Amino acid sequence: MKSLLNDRVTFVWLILAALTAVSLLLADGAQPQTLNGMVYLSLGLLALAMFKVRLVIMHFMEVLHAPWLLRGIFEVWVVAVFIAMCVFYLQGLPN
Amino acid sequence: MEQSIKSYSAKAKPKHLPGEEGVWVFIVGDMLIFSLFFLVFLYYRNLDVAGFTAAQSQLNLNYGGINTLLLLTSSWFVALGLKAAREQKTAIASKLFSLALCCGLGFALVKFLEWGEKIRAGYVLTSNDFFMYYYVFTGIHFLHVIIGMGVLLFLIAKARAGQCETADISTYESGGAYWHMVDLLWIVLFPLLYLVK
Repeated sequence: MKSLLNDRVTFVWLILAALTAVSLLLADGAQPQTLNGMVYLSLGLLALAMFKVRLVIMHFMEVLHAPWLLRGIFEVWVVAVFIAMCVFYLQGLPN
Repeated sequence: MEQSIKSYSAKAKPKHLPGEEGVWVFIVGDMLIFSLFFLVFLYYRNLDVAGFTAAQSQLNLNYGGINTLLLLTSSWFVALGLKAAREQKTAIASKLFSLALCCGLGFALVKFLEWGEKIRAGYVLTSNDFFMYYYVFTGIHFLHVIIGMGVLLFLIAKARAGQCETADISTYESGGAYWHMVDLLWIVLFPLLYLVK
């Protein structure tokens, strides 16, 4: 059991849990007083989420060592979804 | 130089498609559909930012946070279970998949508590656009969790039967990939619905 736990996925899980705690603390604790502060916070939270998603895809789903086509699809998906969400979010800001 | 390239090639992990091709087609398709959900939510949020922000403030961050940690932990158990199955340790794999299933049940319990609390407070599907998307998207995701728990039950039964041939490992990989997808979709839904201001 000990040898099982001593694996990269355990390290990845710890990072994912820590990043989740950071997201919660940021969202709950930070009270941005300016619009810019709110935008940076929201985009930062989305970036953290997509970073976590990429960790899950590469290390838990083992796409890191999958054939290039599958890995490429997921790499493009992560970047494209992040950019699209940022663009849509920014379009909702007051002019 | 040539020697170092040779030793690097020897160390480099060979490319391997985990699980069945068809499962990956399904996973990619499902993720594309959810990408549209994310953008639809942000589009309609833009039409009423103040209304969405006010409704969002009624959500309890703790429920969303606990559920994120439950799914992350379940994914970790599934990844360890797969490793155990590859090492022919099917009894351990079965226990790890069972722990993942417990996390899934925990997710369901927290979701019911959360939905119940919201409904009792008068926030239902028809209250406003925010809650309409909240119930629809978390509901569709919850259906994936239920299917995923069925998949985990199948993997537990397989591991208990001591099945760990090459074809069996491929089945564990496919089931695991599906469960990880359920996890990663929640990782995006959580900040979108609960955190983004």
